[in-house]
Formats: sequence, C-alpha cells, structure tokens
Amino acid sequence: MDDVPGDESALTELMERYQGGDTRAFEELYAILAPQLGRYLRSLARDAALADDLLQETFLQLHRARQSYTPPRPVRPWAYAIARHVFLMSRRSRTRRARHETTAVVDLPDAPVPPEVASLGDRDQVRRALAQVSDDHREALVLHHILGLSFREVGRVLGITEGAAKVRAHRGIVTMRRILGHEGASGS
Amino acid sequence: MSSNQDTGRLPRRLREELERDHAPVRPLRPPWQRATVVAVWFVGILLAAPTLLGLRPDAETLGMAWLWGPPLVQVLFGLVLVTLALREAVPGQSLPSPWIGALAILAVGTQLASALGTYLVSHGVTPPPGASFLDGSACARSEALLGLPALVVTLWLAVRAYPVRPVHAGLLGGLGAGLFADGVQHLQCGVSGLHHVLVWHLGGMLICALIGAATGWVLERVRAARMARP
Repeated sequence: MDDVPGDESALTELMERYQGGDTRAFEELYAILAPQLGRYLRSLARDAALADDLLQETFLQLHRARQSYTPPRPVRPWAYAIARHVFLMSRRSRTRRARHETTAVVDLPDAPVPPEVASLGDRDQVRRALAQVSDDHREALVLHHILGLSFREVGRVLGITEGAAKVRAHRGIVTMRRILGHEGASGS
Repeated sequence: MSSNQDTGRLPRRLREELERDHAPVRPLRPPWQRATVVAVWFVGILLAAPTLLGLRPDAETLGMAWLWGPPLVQVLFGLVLVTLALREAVPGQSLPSPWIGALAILAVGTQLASALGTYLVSHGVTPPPGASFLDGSACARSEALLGLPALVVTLWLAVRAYPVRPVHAGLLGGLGAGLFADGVQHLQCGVSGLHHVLVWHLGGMLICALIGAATGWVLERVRAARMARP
C-alpha cells in the first residue's frame, strides 16, 4: 500500500476543529486529503484535468456538508463517499450533455499503482492494465489496495457488503495479473 | 496535477467559499436520535387514532392481540426503516444495496402478514356493492395523509445530512412512513377483505415509498444540475 499520510485520530481532531469554525483546520485537512482524494478521482474519471475540477468540487461539497460528519467516525470513508457522489453527478450531467458521444479513454494518466501487481510490469503497463479492469472492480481495488480503506469502509462508501468489496477488489487484482501475465508473455 | 494539490494551498474558489461561510456547525446527532422526531409523531398518532378516528367495528372479535399487535409491529418496523433512511443519508454510511432490497421486501411482507393474519381471525365488514372503490380510495387517502407528514420530516432530516444516494434514503423513509400509516389504518378500517387490503392499503404504503424515492431522484437531479453550473 502506498504511504497514506494523516492518521485517523489526527483527521478526526482536524474535522472537529473545522466544524468548530477553525478555517486553518480546513487548510490542514485539504493538505492531507487532497492528494488522496485526487488519486481516487483520477482512477474514477480517467482524466487528470477533469479529476482536478472534481477535486475542487468535492472540497466545496465537503465544506457544505461538514455538519454531516459525526466524530469520532473515520473521516476518510465520509470524504471518499462525497468524492464518489461528486464524480457520479458530474458523469450524469456530462452524459446528458453529450448523449451520443463516447470517449474511449483506455488509459489512466497518473493513476496510482497497486503494490500487489507493481512488480509484474513497468508503471505504464500496470496503469494500462488497471484501465482495463471493470469500473466496479477497479474502484474497490483502488480504495482498499491503494488508498488504504478497510473492506468494511469500502463497502460503506460503495453501498455494498464487506464481502462484496473483498470479492470486487480480489477480482480486480486477478484481472490485472492476467493482463500483465499476457503482456509479459507477449513482450518476452 | 495542479500545483494547489501538490502544495496543499487552497484553490481560489474554495477559499472564497470558505471565507463566505465558515460559521461553526454542530455535528449531526446519530440517526436513532434524529429519528425520535418521527417517533413522536408515530406514537402520538397511534395513541390518538382510536379517539380521533374510532376503532374498527370488529375490534372485539379481533381481541387486543390482533387489534394492537400488527400496528405495533408495523410502527416499530417503520421506525427502524426511518432510522436506517437517516443513516443511509450520512456520507460513508451507505447500506449495502441488497440489504435495502431485502428491507423493502420485508416491509411489504410485514404488511401482507398483518393483513392475512387479521383476515383469518375476522373477515371484518364487507363494503356494500359499488362502494368498494370509494371505501378503498378513502383508505389510500387516509394512509397518505397519515404517512406524508412523517415522510416530509424524514426527508428533511435526510437532506440535512447530505445523502449521497438520495433515492435509497427516500425509498427507505417512504417505506417506513407507509408502514406506519398502514398500521394506524389497521386500527380503524373494518374491511379485512384481502382484495381491499392488498390493493388500497398496500397501495397507500407503496405510494409513500414511491414519493420518497421520487423526491430523492429529484434531489439528485437538482444537485447534478447545480454542480454542472460553471
């Protein structure tokens, strides 16, 4: 798993200060959460520029929904759930705008790489493989293997059971291994 | 990636929003505590119903257990559904979708079991020929009137929590309010015929659920449109 800065108790404390009206706490939260939420949004949006816009919108929504965080619950699942919602809302409005346009993006620019499969190929190969994993499986894989959420938390963010989260993440890893195995075999 | 994210500096739009509104907020109470507002309505109406609306004509035949048992079960389960709707409305606390499906089936099953059990104990009164539609629509209307205030309060509480799946939260809240309304209706409607109960009583409950889900759908659309604005 990549290094995830900011332990939960520190995040909880920052959230409490932020809810109390301390804007400095929000800036600290932003510094900790922005890179992680940015990674997550890039894996969802598959477009770095769009992910940056969504990140800003996510923090706007976090700010407007700040009363909905209940200490001492973990901050990350709350923040990821809002980020996912922002992405889904954005996808909905984009789909409506370009009803018949399809963007065949097959790459994940700057996407994080799961450590479980990082050794199976170079970074670009792994990213391409990650892009080929189905959306459902990739989301669970990214949230658990890269962003460090427990399967229980992944389930609560995605609205699925803990078991289903495990299955999705596992299938994502299996798919990546299969793709990278094939790529490796064809490359050699 | 933008430099804002690398350095942790706040983007201009975000900073402006923060400067506009950085008032302290009180964290939401747990869902079960927020649901007490709805619980007061549920219990109040349940206790006042016999006085305000009168008891069904076959109350004596049914006895205390079958007169009060189904409404109590339905009101309690309705309250559980409202509490779960309020929990669903908190980001990061989403219930698994299969659970929501199972809860919906269980809510309908509770209503059906109550209807069937009551029918087996007492067939109740039979509406005069030609009056079944009028009687039925009066029951559905009465259920809607009893359930809608609870649904409105539930949806208001849910929206305050920022539901990320408002359709799910609305559906659960609607089912809870509908199940409660059907329980109260059981106390005063003397028609136990399954056709009447399954069409008009179950129908009233499902209408509440549909209104809840539809409100969630509208909220989702409005929010998506707001976010799409430059």
